[in-house]
Parts: sequence; C-alpha cells; structure tokens
Amino acid sequence: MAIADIMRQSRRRTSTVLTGPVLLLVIVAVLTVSPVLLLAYGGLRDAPIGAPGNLTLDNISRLVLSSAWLVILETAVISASAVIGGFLVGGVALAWLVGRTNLPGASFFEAVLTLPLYIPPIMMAVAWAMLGAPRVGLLNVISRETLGFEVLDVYSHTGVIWYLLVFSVAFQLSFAASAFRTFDASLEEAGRVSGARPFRVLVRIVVPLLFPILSGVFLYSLVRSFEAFEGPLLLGAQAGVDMISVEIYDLVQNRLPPDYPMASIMGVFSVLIVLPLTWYQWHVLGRRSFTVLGARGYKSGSYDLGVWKIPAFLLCVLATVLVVFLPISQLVLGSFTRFFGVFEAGFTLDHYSSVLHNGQLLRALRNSAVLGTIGATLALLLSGLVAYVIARGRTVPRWVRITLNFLSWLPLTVPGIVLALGFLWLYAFAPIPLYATRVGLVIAYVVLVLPLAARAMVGSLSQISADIEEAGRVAGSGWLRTVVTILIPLIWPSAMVAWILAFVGIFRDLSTSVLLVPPGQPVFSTALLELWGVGKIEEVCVLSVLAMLPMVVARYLVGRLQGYEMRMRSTSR
Amino acid sequence: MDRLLSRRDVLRYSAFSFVTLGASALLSACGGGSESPTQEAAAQTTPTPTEAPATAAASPTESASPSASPEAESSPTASGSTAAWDEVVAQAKEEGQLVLYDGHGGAIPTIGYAAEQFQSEYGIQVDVSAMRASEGQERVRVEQQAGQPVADLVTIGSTQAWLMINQDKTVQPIGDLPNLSRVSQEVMAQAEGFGLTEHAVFEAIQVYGVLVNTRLVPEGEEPKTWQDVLDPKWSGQIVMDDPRAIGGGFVFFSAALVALGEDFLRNLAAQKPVLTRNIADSANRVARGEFALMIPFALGLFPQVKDVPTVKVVMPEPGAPFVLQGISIPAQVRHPNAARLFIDYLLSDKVQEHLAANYLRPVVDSALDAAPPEARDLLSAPLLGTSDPPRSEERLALAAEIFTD
Repeated sequence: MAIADIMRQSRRRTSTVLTGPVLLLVIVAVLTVSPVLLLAYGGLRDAPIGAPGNLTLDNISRLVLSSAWLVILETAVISASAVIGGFLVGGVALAWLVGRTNLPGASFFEAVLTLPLYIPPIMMAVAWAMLGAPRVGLLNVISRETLGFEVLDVYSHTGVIWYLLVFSVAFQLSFAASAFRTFDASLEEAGRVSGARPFRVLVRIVVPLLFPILSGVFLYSLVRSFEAFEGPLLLGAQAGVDMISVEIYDLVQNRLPPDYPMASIMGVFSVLIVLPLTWYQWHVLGRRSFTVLGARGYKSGSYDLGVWKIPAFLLCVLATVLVVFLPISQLVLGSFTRFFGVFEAGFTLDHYSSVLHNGQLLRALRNSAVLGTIGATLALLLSGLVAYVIARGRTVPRWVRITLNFLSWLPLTVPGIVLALGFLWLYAFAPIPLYATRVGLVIAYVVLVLPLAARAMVGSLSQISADIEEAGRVAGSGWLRTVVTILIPLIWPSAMVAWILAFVGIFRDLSTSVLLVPPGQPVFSTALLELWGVGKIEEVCVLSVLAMLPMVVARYLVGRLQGYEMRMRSTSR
Repeated sequence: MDRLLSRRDVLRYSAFSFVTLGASALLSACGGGSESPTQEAAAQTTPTPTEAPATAAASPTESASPSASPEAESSPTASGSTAAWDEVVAQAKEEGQLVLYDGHGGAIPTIGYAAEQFQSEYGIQVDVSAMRASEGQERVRVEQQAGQPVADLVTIGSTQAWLMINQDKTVQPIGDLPNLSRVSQEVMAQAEGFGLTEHAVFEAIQVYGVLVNTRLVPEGEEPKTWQDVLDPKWSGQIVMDDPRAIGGGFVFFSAALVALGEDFLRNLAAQKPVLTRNIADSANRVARGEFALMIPFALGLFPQVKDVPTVKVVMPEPGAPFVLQGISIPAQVRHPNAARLFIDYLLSDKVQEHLAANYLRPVVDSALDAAPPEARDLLSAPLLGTSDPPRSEERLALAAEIFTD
C-alpha cells in the first residue's frame, strides 16, 4: 500500500515535471507547424484558401508533370556551387587562418568578413548589381581598363552564384572559425610530434575531427542558399536563372490569376526537399560540442604560420576587399552621388537630408528597432526554454526532446515568402485577431529567428556540464535559484549573442515582413523595398549606410561576447 | 510510464491548441461555400455608408450629391443634394481614419501627396501601405473572405480592377461623387467599355513612351515610330518591362498587338531585349548606360531620372500605349464615408494638377495645363491602346510564347 502511494506520488511529480516541456512542445508545434499545415492545405485545393473550392491532388500532378523539377534542380546546382566554394574558402581556409593561426589581424578579418550576415540581402544585391553590371559596373570598368576584359556579369548564373558565395563565405566562416578556435591543440601537437607537416595535420586530423560541425554548417548554408530570394530575384530573374523562391514568387505575383495552390504545393515540396538536409544537419550539429570540448579540459593554441604569414595576410586582405569592401564602398559612394552610377552628375548630401527628414522612413527604422527588440527578446526566452529542455531535460522523454529540437529547426526549411503566406492565411482565418497587427508580425518574427536563437542556446547549454547545476542543488538551491545564480551567469554571453543575431535577423528580414506589416506601420526592409521600387537607389544607399552602423556595432558586440565567453570558460576550466 | 503521461499531455494540449487555432483557421478558410464574399458581406453587415463596416449594398444615392469638399466648391458638381454629401463629409470626419493599400507600389507619388493633403484638410488620418498590385488584390481577397476588413481603399490598374470586380468579387459599387462629372469622356468611355465604372474610379492615365540614353543614341537617331525599334542596330540594346506578367510591359504588348500586329511583337522579341520586372531600376540602368533604350517607359517614372544628363524620353508614332490607374472600395470596409471622400478628393484640381506635374496624365483635362511644358506634349500624345482585361489571360499566354526562348 505504501509502495503504491509512493508510486502514485512519483507519477504525479513526473506528470508535473513533464507539463512544462509538453506545453512548450505544443506551443512550438502550433507556432511552427500551423502555417506549414495551412500551406499544405492550400496546395491541396483547386482555389486559393478562403475562396470556394474543392480538395484535389491535381496540383501535385501539375507539379510533377511540369518543368518545376528543372527549377528545383537548377536551384540545387546553383546553391551547391556557391556553398561548396563558400565551404572551401570560408569554412576551411579562412576559418582555419583566423581561428587557429597567428595571422596578423585575425580578429579583425573574422569580424569584417562576417559582416555581410548583418547587412540586409537586398542591399548586397543592389551593391553587386552596381559593381558587376555589364559595361558600366565599377568592377567591370576597372577590369576592362586593366585586364582588357570584364570579370563579372552579375546578371547571370555566375552572378547569382557569386552573390550566394559571398553570403556563404561569411556564414560558414562565422561558425567554423569558432570551431577551429576551440579545437583542442593537443590533438594537433600529437600529429606534429608524429612528424606530420602542418597541411597534413589540417587535412588528416583537424578537418576530420571537425567534420560533424563543418558538414552541419555546410548543410545549413546550403539550405539558406536554396531559399535565397532577394539576390536571385534582382540578379537572376532577368537572366533566366530559375530559383525556387523566385518561382514561388512568380506564381503569386505574375500569373493571372495568381496561382496560389501551385505556389503552396511548391512551398511544401521545398520544405520536403530541405527537411532531410535539416534533419541531418540538426543531427550532426547537435553533437558538436561533445567531440572536442570535453569536461577534462582542453588546450587552445595558435599555429605559427612562419613564412606563410604574409601570403596568408594578403589572402585575407583580398577576401575582405572582394567580399566586403567593394559592395559596402559602392553603397557608401552611392549614398553621396546625385544619381547612382552617373558620377558626372556630381555628389551631394541631399539624399541624407531627404532620408533624415522623411517621417515615414524614420518611423520604419523605429518600428524595426522596436519590433526587433520585442521579437528578439521573445525569441530568446522561447529558445532558452527550448534549449533547456533539449540540453538539460534528463527527465523528459527523449522523443519530446527530439521533437522539440526538430520543430525548433523547422522554420529554417520554409522559404520566408512561403512562411509569410502561411501566416497571412493563418491570421486571417484564425479566431484570434492577429491579422494586420504588430502582434501577428512579432509572432512571425519569433518563428523566423527561432532556429538561429535555439541553436545558439542549445550549443551554449550543451557545453556546460550538468554537474555544475547538480552541485548547486546538492548545496540546497532550488531549480529557479540554480538557474538564476549558476546557469545564467555562465550562458549570458551566448544569450546576448543569440539576442543580437535574432535582432539582426528580424531587422534584415524582407520576405516575411512584406506580406505581414500592418498598414501605416512600415519596417526598415519594406521601406527599403519601396524606395527601391520607385527607383530612389541613392536613398536606399543612405538608408543602408545608416542601418549599417548599428549592424557593425552588433557585429563588434558579438565578437566581444564570444571572446569573453571563451576566456570565461577557459578560466573556469 | 513517463512516456504514457507525457503523451497524454501532448494530446491534451495539442487538441486544445490546434483545435482553437489551426483547425479553426482551416474550418473558417474552407467554409466559404459558393457565395461570393461580396454577397456574404452584404448579407452580414449593415448596408449604409455612414456605418462601419459598410458593404456593397451601401446606398450610393444617399451620398451622391454636390460637394461640400473644398475642391468641389470650385468645380462642377454631380447630381444629388449638397446636404447628403455634407453628411458624407461629416461622417467621414467622424470615422477619422482611412487605410489605403497602394497597389501602384508607391510608384505614383501623388497617392502619398493626396493622403497628406487630405489628412491636413479633413483631419482624417490616412495610412498608406505601398505594395505590389497582386499583393493588394490578395490581401483584400483574404480580408474579405475572412471577414476582417482592414483596407478601406485599394489602388489598382484596370486589369486588376476587372479581376477584383468579376473574379474575386471583392469590391463594392462606389456610387456617384461630386467630382466624378469632371472626369474626361475619353476615360469614362474606356472604363465603361470594360464595365468598370460602377466599381472603380480612375484618377490618372499612365502613358508609355521610350527612354533613351543620349550617350549611346546620337541626336536624331532616336526611334521616331514604334517600327524603328526593330532596327537591327538596337539588337541587345533594349531593356524591356516584361510583357509576360501584368504590368506596363503587358499593357504595351496588348496595345501593340492590336495596333501594330503580332509580327511586330515577334520581330521585337527577335531583338533579344532583356526582360525585367523592376521598371524603376531599368530606368536607372538606361541612365547609367547599360542599355540604349527602355521599352515601354512609364512617363510617371520620368521625374526619377529627368535631372540626369544622360536620358530623354521620346514618344514614337502613331501613339502612346496607356493604362488607367484607378481606385476601388473593398466590399466590407470600416470607413466607407472617408473612403468615398478620398476618392472624390483624388479628382480635385489640387491632386489632378499634382499628377500632371509628375508626368501622369490627369483624368480632368483642365489639369493638364499644370504639367511642365516639356511634359505636356508627351502627355498629350494620341493614345495607341491599352490592355483588354477580359482577354488578359489569353494574351499573357501569347506573350509568354513570343518572348520566351
């Protein structure tokens, strides 16, 4: 009888302990799955959602029988080309140089080379459209004068690949550099002691050991390139470069009547294609910290480049000029020209004055700042809870943790414009008044940045031994006190990084905002698009330059926080 | 045991959440039935223009009257009573707010100007959301189907207007307006021809010509007729608004198909023009010297580049393709009187002259005098033709066939 009571109590306790995680799972599921479900439903109808119509499988057969597969194949080839290049340059070469060697100015190069991640893609597309335009692009003018030929036609497959490559280099470098930096130096030393040359050590020891994280980052980058929208639209569409996100946009924007069912089913297929990649990438990234950051401590160290220091330095300078300096210079220059690209028209500050006196633009900047702050904070809270359950929920059934982890990745598989369409329909027909409200927009933002924030938080929590928390509890602290006094002081730098990345992600988002912004409440990206749409490129440049300053500060803070966290953990070990 | 308990919890919470949110959304979404949203809306809401939300059944006769608006005092007025229109104005001020989806994507600066002026004259706040035409159409469709009206007005071209009236059935009759009688007979006849007059008011005419880079095209060698653009010397030198999608390129395609024939279009395609859907950027690219010609060039874009020393506009013979730019009221709206007052305001001298000053042909003929001298001739060019909304689908298919490699 007594044993039965104890068992009953135990069940009750377990049930209570599980309520939180399960509730969290349901919230995350509703947030991430609902728009996709609605999208799938839209793809199985012969009319747009809301319009009279019937369920049908015709859209699937239309998709299968159409040339959409070629679009998907083309998207895959373009994305893979860019990402492989990005992997070799950013994920391995540059990441190793800035993360593992005594390269002069390594921190500077790392910070600058990852700057494109903080700049709205549409700005980079505008900049490259200027630089690589046939005949008149600055890069082509210079190369024609000096080399006798034009180096880049940005309105081509090569142009789109180059545009994606720039982001891929920045993205892979940002993840891989920290992996190289935290790699245990004693493993390299063992290789060198055995007589292996540095290149052999890199290829035979370092890269294989970092393979899980490098491959994860590679796949993550591939997914992002697969879903890229702004660059392919601006640079690729006119050259017949078919990317899946642009094709979906085309179905909605340019068909008569708009083909929402087909766009929906294509969006669902896009999700299904990306899903296995995301699953694998989640799988390998989820294990990242357990291979080289053991609790027994590790030894960090810099590899001496010796005579290769200067060539390596010049390589980084070249990469910095190509990836960052040229496009940003073009934007800055454009902001001062009276007419973008026509230098003989003269230079002026009028565009700055115009932007700074434009109430609508300033309101857009303010809205983005406010919504970004709220969205990033909510995303951080949600991802913190998600990460805690995933990394710390030993009493939570494994399938709950796996599902939660997977769902927190799910939005990554959905192209932004497709996600926005799902949310638009969801809000319009949901019983809760979210349609055309800032609350609705913030919710979509939270979902949008959840994968990024959750990844950062899971990574951070996974690197902290559970023993530390348990020691606190043994000492008599409750759960809340343990979290507040022990865990948060250890993870706050990562939390801040996650917050900044989420904020930047929201600030630079266009594809989700464009369908969900409430009337009269523009945000930065939609204001940028509007200016671009009416040809005020000079003001686009001004706005870009103004927005870039806080983004540079954000990048600086991320670097400082990551450095601080590393030092803190090294000290604690 | 853990697994059993947690799964039960999952089911409980899932059932609650999905049923209340996701499932409700789906059920609401598929509960459209066969009634049109306009009809449903009309059945659900009170059909008076002075109460919100108003519907298609809003009685236009109550408010069709001489104007009490500042502009109407100095202009001819429509039939009806001044008192009734005064009531519309009073109710509009009481409504105090207006949401406008600008389907011109902000490309007609006069919409923003009119919103500011209207706000300052009547004290009615106007929230303008610039978006692409199809986005405006879809937002209105979703809002009307869901019974969550946000937009009180949507600006659209004639093809989009035809779709919203005949296919989506998401707009309501506008009724008579004091300034409606000022609209030129030419425009009214055009709108009447497509059956658009009841549900849309057209405030401007976008006229299309050719933008020329003066560095690449010597004086005197500009195209003087549309046939001139078929000269082999322009091969690879033309950037063209994509005719395979709704927009200026398609308007040009439709007009040229009727006026110049299918062979003209096939020969134009043989010139290998670069097709693009970003018309504002295309104008800049011509100015920078990437292309010699932009076809068709919406004159409304000219203020963007008119100070650049490298471009000019020419209007080839026999005339200019054009499209009517209009505005409609969705079937259900929250501010019906303010919406009608704003539409009337668009036909005022102040707004019409602003249009002319910005290279858009006003629908009130007298306002053309306000156009800059260099623009007046261009805007006064004979009209070549426009799109044929009921045949748009068929012509888009033809455009795709001709202009796709």
